[in-house]
Amino acid sequence: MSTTTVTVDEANNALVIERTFAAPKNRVWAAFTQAELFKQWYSPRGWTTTVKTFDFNVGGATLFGMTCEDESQGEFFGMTEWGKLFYTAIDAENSFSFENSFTDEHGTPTEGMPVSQVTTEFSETAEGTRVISRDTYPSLEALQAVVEMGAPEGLAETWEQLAELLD
Amino acid sequence: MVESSQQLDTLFLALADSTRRSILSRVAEVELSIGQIAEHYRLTFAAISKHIKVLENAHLVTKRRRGKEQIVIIVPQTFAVAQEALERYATLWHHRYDTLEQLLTQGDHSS
Repeated sequence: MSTTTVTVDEANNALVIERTFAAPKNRVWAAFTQAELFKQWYSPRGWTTTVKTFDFNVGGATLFGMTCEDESQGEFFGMTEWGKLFYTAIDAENSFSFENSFTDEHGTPTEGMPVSQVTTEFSETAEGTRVISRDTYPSLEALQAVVEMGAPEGLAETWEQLAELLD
Repeated sequence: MVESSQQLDTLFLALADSTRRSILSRVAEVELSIGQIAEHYRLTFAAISKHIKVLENAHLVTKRRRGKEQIVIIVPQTFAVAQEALERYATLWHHRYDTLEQLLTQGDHSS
């Protein structure tokens, strides 16, 4: 079973997310680039994704909402958060880039919220398909703000991730 | 959020410097005086003191007097704040990708 790693690349103001999936590249690519598949995995635990528009073309955008269906998450229950992915580059089955922003339900950016540039790369390995995403923020403050919001749940871990942070 | 956004700003900016991270790694293992820390770097005592001050403002280290020396001590609780913030982000992606893996496995009919 593969695991996901998330590391901080402070030199480039980026969060780097890596994972290997035991599936061929075209199927992993489809999961990121087709609405019906995308909405089945993109939400945090206890949340569901609604896709309002999904235009996977350079200059096109995906507008989606994530709604908390889990009463145990207190103040988040019933809340919908909107986001937009504006596609800036696509190299079919190899990589795509987009501008990631927080918006309202009409796709208007939320003032004061950070916008990040994300590039996701797909490569074939002996185990399947390696996916590497670089989520780059214009400043550490922006990175900090988004890290702070993250998912509405935390988990206690060892010092390992911190060691990576300090590496 | 328990920690204020400003605290986190100070914290991440303090961590966004390789010399300061190196100092933290050293004092995480053993308590050192500012003089002892300065010996490890091609920096003046004053320059090291400035770095220590930034770390102190971010509550990453604290200082204690030992005779004529100032001893630098790490504050582990502050690391927990930085770590939690990072983990909230990491948790989201762990969950997303575990779900995606299930989705890819379910739909696996080698077509």
